[in-house]
Amino acid sequence: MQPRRYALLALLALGFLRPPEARAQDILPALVGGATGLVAGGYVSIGIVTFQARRGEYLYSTDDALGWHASPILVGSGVGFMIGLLDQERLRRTVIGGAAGGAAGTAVGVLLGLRFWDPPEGKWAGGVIGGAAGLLLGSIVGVLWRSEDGGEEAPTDAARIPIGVRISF
Amino acid sequence: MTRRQPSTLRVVLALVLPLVTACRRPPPGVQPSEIGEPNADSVEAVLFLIGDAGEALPGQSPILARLTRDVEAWSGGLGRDSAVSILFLGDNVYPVGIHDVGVPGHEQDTLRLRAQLDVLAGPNARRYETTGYFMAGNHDWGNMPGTAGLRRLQNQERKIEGARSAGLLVKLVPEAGSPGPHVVDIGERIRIAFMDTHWWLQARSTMPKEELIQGVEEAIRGAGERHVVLAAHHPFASGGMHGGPLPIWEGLGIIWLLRQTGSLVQDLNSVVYRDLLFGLKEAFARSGRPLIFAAGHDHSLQVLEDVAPDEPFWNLVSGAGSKVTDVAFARGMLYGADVPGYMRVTFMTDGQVLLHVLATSDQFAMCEEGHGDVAKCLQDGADGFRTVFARRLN
Repeated sequence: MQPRRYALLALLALGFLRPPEARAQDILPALVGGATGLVAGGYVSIGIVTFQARRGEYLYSTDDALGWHASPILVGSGVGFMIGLLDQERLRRTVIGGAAGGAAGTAVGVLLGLRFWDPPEGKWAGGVIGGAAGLLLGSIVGVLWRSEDGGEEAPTDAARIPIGVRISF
Repeated sequence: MTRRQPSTLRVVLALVLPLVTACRRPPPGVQPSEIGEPNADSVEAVLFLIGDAGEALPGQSPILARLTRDVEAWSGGLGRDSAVSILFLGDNVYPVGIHDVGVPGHEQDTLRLRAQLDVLAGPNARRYETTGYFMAGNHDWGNMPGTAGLRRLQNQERKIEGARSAGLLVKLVPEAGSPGPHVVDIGERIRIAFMDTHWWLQARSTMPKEELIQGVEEAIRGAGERHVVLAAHHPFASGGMHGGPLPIWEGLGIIWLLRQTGSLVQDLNSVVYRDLLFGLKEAFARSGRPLIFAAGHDHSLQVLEDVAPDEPFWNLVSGAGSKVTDVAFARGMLYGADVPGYMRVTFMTDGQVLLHVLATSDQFAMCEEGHGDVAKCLQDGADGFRTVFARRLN
């Protein structure tokens, strides 16, 4: 996929998350969300680079690293910032989901890496790829998870984050 | 009197620093020379090994200035045709090889190559057919795979052929696009097999790779009583940045993590690089191992003795031709230093093979305009060369 498409996706994601006036001032959770998203996105990028390398497609220079592999960094920081700005509870769930998914993915990845790839790099590669996949999956679950005290009991000024996924066939 | 309590920071440092320093054991430094300078009368041939010299422009490099001086002295001293050879071990043109004609950077790229070609332009070198063998490094491929990278290398090959037409005995080996091995026999005792290891790292198909390994095997088996030197850009073993331990903070930890996973193609532990080393080890196990594996890539001077029966007897890393980077201890390392310089391998008429590692102070990697008196820097740098390690190799 072209880098432009990823940039477009990131912009669309930001567009979905419209900040209400009341929460726009609350910048600290947004910064925390942005920083967390940056780190998480960076780790996903490392996972992609590692996965590609295992398929024999290597980065040959640092310029290569600035290609589409780096798009999770942009998307992660942007989405993290917006979630932090709009819904701290959702940010908390996303971080917990990402951390749990990352830990579980790392454990599974290490085992698979030990099983299928040569040591000592195999376990590291498996761990990083699994960790990145788990982190991504856990974060998505955290973002989409609906809290039990949501719905009618939610504060009236609570941010609404409609997220839509369009699948073309 | 109250006793001062150690701060948390101090405690942390006390715990962490020993761990950090233990990760990068320093390499062995200057060794007392076991052997002196050989007498020219008893020398059959001389090989100079210099790698990664592609940063220097003409008139900027004390290393190339001193090498030119040494080449002239040995060519004249031996006084026989083809008795002196220079192996340029790749990365002859930084940062990304030679651009196409008309593209910005082409002139500068050409000058970088010219600086090395000029080493062979002296009267003795011309008269006694001193030969310069240029090998491809990853930067000569433009740090790229496929046809785009090959095009950069072909540009360099054209320049080298141009210099050859003008009377210099120079050649790109193996020819652009071929993995090799390109075999050259010198005199009665020496066989050099040249490989393009970046070709291996970027190639996707396996069949030509098998042919390269088979070619190496045949080159060694067919050498008979000759000493075999296997020459490539990428080293067989190294304690430098591409092979040695890497600080965890390198590149905010990202480079370190990618290194752990074997995802950096230019590092010795990448899957594709390991395949190369594994293939070579298999070839050595079947046909015998070379006396020397000569390479550059890491910007340091390293002498490593074999640590296993399927390895070359000696791994020489001579990649400090125009820049230097850290080196740490590696298994089998007898000498390692991040100092500018090159190596000389002397083949004696009685069959002995001698290695001399020649280096100058690290401030003389380059003498650039705007950093003082360039002429004085060149002179001091070239005069400052000394033998920092010497050893009989057989």
